[in-house]
Amino acid sequence: MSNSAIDVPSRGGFSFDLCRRNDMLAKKGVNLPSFRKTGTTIVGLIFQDGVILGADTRATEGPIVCDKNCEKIHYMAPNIYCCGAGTAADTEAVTDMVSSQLQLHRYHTGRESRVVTALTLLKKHLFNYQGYVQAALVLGGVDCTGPHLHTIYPHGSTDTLPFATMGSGSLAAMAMFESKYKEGLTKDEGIQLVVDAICSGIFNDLGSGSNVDVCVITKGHKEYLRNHLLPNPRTFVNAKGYSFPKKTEVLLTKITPLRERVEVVEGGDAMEE
Amino acid sequence: MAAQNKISHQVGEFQNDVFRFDIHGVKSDIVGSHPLETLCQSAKQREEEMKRRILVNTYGTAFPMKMDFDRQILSRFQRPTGAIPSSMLGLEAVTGSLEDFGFEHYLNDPRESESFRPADLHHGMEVRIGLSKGPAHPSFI
Amino acid sequence: MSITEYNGSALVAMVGKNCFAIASDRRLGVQLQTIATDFQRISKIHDRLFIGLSGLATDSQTLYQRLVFRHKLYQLREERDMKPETFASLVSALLYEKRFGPYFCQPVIAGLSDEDKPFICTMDSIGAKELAKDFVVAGTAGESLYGACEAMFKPDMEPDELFETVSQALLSSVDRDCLSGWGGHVYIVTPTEIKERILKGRMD
Repeated sequence: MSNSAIDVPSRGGFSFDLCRRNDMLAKKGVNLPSFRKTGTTIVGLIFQDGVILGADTRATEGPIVCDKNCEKIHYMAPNIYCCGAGTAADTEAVTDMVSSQLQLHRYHTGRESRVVTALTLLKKHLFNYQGYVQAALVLGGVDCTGPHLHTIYPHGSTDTLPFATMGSGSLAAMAMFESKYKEGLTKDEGIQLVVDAICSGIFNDLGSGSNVDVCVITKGHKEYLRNHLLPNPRTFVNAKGYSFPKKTEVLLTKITPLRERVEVVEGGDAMEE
Repeated sequence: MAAQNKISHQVGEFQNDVFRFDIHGVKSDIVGSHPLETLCQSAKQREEEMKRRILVNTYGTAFPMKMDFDRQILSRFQRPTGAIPSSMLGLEAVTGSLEDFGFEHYLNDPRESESFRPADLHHGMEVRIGLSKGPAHPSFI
Repeated sequence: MSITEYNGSALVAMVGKNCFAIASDRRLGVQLQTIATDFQRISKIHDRLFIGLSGLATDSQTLYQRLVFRHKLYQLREERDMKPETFASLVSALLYEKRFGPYFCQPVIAGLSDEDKPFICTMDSIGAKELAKDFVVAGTAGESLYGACEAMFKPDMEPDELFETVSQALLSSVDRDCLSGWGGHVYIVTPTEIKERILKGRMD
């Protein structure tokens, strides 16, 4: 670029203000907190008329399960969905940002988004951040060129596969796919195989757990089956619940009544006689 | 809790804000506080350079030069420096950033920064006509 | 030592029938030394929206000031209060912009929507939202709070029962965490009123 007087208003982006302080703390022997991971089994496969994506629903923070029923299949476009594994904040931020970008692109072109567009945007972003944005994704969708399934690694490399798995339970899930996948599966067979793969992750990988989410995308149609299977229902519920006969000791109570919210109806003809 | 795990208290010793983090040196200026920092700053420029090189290879040197002229002309359409930043619609349409959307559009937006300093009109105009130095939009204190 | 354990904290929010509760402990410590026993961890954003910030106190206060600033900016621009969902997205974006050098702070957000539907949410220090239908916890007593809430929570509790449940869960959890405690601070918010209560707890 020539150094002409193009002084456009400065833009935002990631802020690195606290990095130096945090490094200093780390050097002093303080452990920095871990981030929420999706520690996950996510899978996808191509069946005879589209793509099926699947995911478990456990989010972990170290050894603690912090969400028993989280959503890992993210919306990208009406015909494209994306499963995310890795650091939860990264997968969410990246998929949200790219889905907005796709929407903007659809407004601009007036056409359905293509899966490769989403793929390129995702891998470009991830490659730019050199693996510091920890998102491993399985991207699936059906566009005018047919069904597509891609996996994207945190560093920005991608694969195009008929069946794919990602996350900590990927080996368990891949075992099911390798033994049972064949070309030209019907929808029911496909869903069953995805459920089997996710269940294998749920039961054999400690990072994955709880329920099975499935998303079936076919030409011009999609079906998001949230909590398609609940293999781990809660069994330890006390029917009566707990009651506390001895009340907690309260030192001070302050009650602030809330103002009545007044609704103003405009354009009324109130004062007519 | 083991003794070495504690953060040593350094209240009262001679300290300076700069000393607390590091001796302010050339290295910390160049490298930045995070390996990604310099990368983030240069990413856009690198991308533009690559696009330009592709255009040179495809259409010859004249085409990207013409685009540069367009850009320079369009970048002159600006509001006087002040409360409202220039929208740069023409420039964004030419560069294609009009249909772009990224983290820079909603994370850490300088217009929503709490350390935002309203631009000084006088200084801004001096900068624009080349009488004074410094950015025309000093958005941060 | 982890940096989130430097000051110690316990935070919990719970959903009831058309109401919610958000509660915290009252201790501010510097590692094992107690500095204050009336620390405010929960702050009001507007009448029907509360945020509790656990983790490193210096970061929570900075973050709180930035959030109040952004909320005021929104009020001036839009002439209305923020919806809880919107506010959660704002907090998430503020945390994610510091992805590579985060605030050591885990927020808990609780609010009532315009239709009096309660909304609760927590995040990790870089803004990964966790929306729950029952309860959310944060802080050094988080692990024991998970257990207590998991056992004591019932769906559709009335305000008084919700207060009792959340207080019992909080007090029993902070008793098993040496870094938090010294009583509790509970807010019960219904469509008509805010009840703020200070609980008596163990003082060791």
